Amino acid sequence: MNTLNILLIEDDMIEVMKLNRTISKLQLNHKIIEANNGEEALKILRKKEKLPDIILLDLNMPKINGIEFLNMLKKDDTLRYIPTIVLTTSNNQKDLLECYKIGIAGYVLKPLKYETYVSKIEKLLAYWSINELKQI
Amino acid sequence: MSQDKIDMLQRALAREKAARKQAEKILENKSAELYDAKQKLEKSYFELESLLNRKDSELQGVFENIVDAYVIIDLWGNILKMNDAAVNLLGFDNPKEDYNLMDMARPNDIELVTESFKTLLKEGSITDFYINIITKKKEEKLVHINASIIYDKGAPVAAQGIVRDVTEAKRNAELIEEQKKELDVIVQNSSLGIVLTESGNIVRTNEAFQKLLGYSESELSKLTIKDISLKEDFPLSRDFLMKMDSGKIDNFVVQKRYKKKDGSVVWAKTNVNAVRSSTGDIKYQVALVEDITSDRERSLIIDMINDLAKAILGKMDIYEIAWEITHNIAEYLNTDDCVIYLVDQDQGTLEQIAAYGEKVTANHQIINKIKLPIGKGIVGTVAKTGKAELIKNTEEDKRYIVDEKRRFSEITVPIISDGQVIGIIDSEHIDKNYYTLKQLHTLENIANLVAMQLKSAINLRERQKVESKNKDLLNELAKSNDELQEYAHMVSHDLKSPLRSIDALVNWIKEDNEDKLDAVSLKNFELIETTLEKMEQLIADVLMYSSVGAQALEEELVDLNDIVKELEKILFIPKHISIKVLNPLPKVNGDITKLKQLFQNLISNAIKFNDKPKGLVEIDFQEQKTHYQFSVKDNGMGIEEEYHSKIFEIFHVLNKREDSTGIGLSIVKKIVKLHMGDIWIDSELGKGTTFYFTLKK
Repeated sequence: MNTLNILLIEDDMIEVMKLNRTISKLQLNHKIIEANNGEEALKILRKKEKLPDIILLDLNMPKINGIEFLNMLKKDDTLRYIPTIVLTTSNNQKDLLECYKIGIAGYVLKPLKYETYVSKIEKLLAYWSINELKQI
Repeated sequence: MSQDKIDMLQRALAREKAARKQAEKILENKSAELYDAKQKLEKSYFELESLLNRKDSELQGVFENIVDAYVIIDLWGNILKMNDAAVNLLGFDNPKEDYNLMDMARPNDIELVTESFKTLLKEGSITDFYINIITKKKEEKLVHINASIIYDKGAPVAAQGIVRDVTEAKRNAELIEEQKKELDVIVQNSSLGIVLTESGNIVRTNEAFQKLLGYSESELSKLTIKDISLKEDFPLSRDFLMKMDSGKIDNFVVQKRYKKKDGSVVWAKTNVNAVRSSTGDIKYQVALVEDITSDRERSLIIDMINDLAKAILGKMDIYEIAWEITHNIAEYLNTDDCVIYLVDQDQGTLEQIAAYGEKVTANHQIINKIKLPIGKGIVGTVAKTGKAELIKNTEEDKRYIVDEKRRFSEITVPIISDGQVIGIIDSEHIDKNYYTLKQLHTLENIANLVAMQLKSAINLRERQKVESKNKDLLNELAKSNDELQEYAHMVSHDLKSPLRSIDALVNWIKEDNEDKLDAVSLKNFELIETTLEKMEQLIADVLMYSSVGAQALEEELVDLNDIVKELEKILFIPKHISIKVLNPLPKVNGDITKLKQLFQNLISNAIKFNDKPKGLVEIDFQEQKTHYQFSVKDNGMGIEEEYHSKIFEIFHVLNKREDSTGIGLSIVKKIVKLHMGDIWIDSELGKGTTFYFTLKK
């Protein structure tokens, strides 16, 4: 099992807490980098010091929203290879199609129940832990 | 006896003897001479006689060979001799008949004949005596007689005369005279003007021509054709006249103008004919002149109306139609100004939509468009009253509004459709008293002609306006629909997020306080979680309701049997409830996701609200002409009739249940409507409910 550097782009504080708590509850060693919105995330990424292995991206955010962020990411020759998994409440088919069109590595709906959330995150991280990732 | 005496006697005898002898000799000579003379005389007499005979027969030949009738009569009128021509003329059978010429005179003419005969006797001759005779064959003839007396030794013995039958000649002369009179009547009374000219100078004219130009005959006779023609028309005739002079043609027709005495102009069709002398030179020219001013005007009007009708036929653009009207009318009225106004009933104004003349640019754009209130100005008045007006002098009309410049005559005609003034045709002319009543009538006719076309063009324009407005509205609607959709998603996200957070927080409290919470608190946390679930369901349903119909219907052929089978697997069906499909369901054209929602809602409702120990849900259908009618029947609790129509309203919940939001049936109705169908129920409280709905084939 690889230890992942995860960039979580999420504006909702409780959602950030949820992921952190889920990881510690599951006793995983993944490292979470937090960005409150797309703008902040881009700042972090453009430093290109230590790039994350995967990105977990919320769509509904102030300033630069998820889809705008995705578009910018895909225009960057280096950053475009980072697998980006959308983690959102939106089951809007339009958003889903648009995301896949631009290029995403997954689309996970945030469930209502916390337990369901934990179970989904466990599976998601387990999956990416066994994936070979490009060393940037 | 004396010797002497004897001697003397003897001597005397001898002398006598000698003398006798001499006398005998002379006599003898004389007698010879006489004989000679006699001989000679006899010879010449003979000669003379033969000469006379010859002459006589010659005369006889001449007499007989005279072409005219030749008659010799005695002094009482009895015919002595006549030639063959006379026999013919007088109706005899042969020249030897005895007849008195006097008998041929008609009783009335006897006196005249007697008088003439006296003159003949007295004067010795009579010439050019005309008399009607009745011939022996009872033919009436008019004869012309020249006669003279024949004298013998100074005494009149007979009369000779040459008689000519002039019956025919007289009749011809009368006929010619009559014809000439008739011709004169025709010429003088002809409705065509007739002019006789000699090298361009007017020689004679008839009344019609005089009337046409307003000159008297004597005035005209002092004028030349050029004097009464328009210079502009000279080239028209010139070619023809040259050809006529050179003998190539004898006749030509031109339409030209003539100047009247009062200075006005008439249009005339002129038919010119050459009258040539025996040598072929033109002696005279005869021109037949027909006034075609009114014809021309009429044909001008007809041409214009024709042109206009052709021009606007099929045109649906109001500006194009109006432009055709203005320039055709301007041409017809021979003016440089014509404007079409359109009535805007909503605003109570008149708008200039087309113009001719100085008011427009080369590409038909109106310069300084003016908008007039209905009722203002001459145009505004006509728009209000619907009555055409003819202004002879705009200076005297206070209503006149100067457009780009003052003109003194104005003609204004309303275009009326269905009793409503829809437009105005207005034309002005710089001269006073320019327009005529006739032109006014013509314009009214044109207004009638174009009214329908203009009206339909206006309608089209209105329709296009409305259509484009509708299109904008539709676009806007689609846009706002999209926006609404986005908004619904945003709202649902924003509403769901806190629910998720609360759920997480509740779970953390439970986790962090494990073993510390009592049973009541744990029960309350559970209630919080159920409430959150219901809240989330509500949000999801609202989102779905707003989504149905917002997205385009994706049509495909859907097998409803598959849908029901799938639902039987997905839905939670309690053991005491059975679902039956009575007949194999048809395939319908529709949106598979929505049809699934439709059946899911109805079936789950049937399950949910079943209070019987043995629940039954029956699905069936009937084929109709254009639709399939489906039914979902249950034996559940049923619905009171007063709620039958209310249950399809959004958020209307009959039974308070944790798992019903009151949106399901609204969604169902929306889906049915989207598939051009209808939905209704049949239900009895306590016994069960049947939902009927139709879907378009």
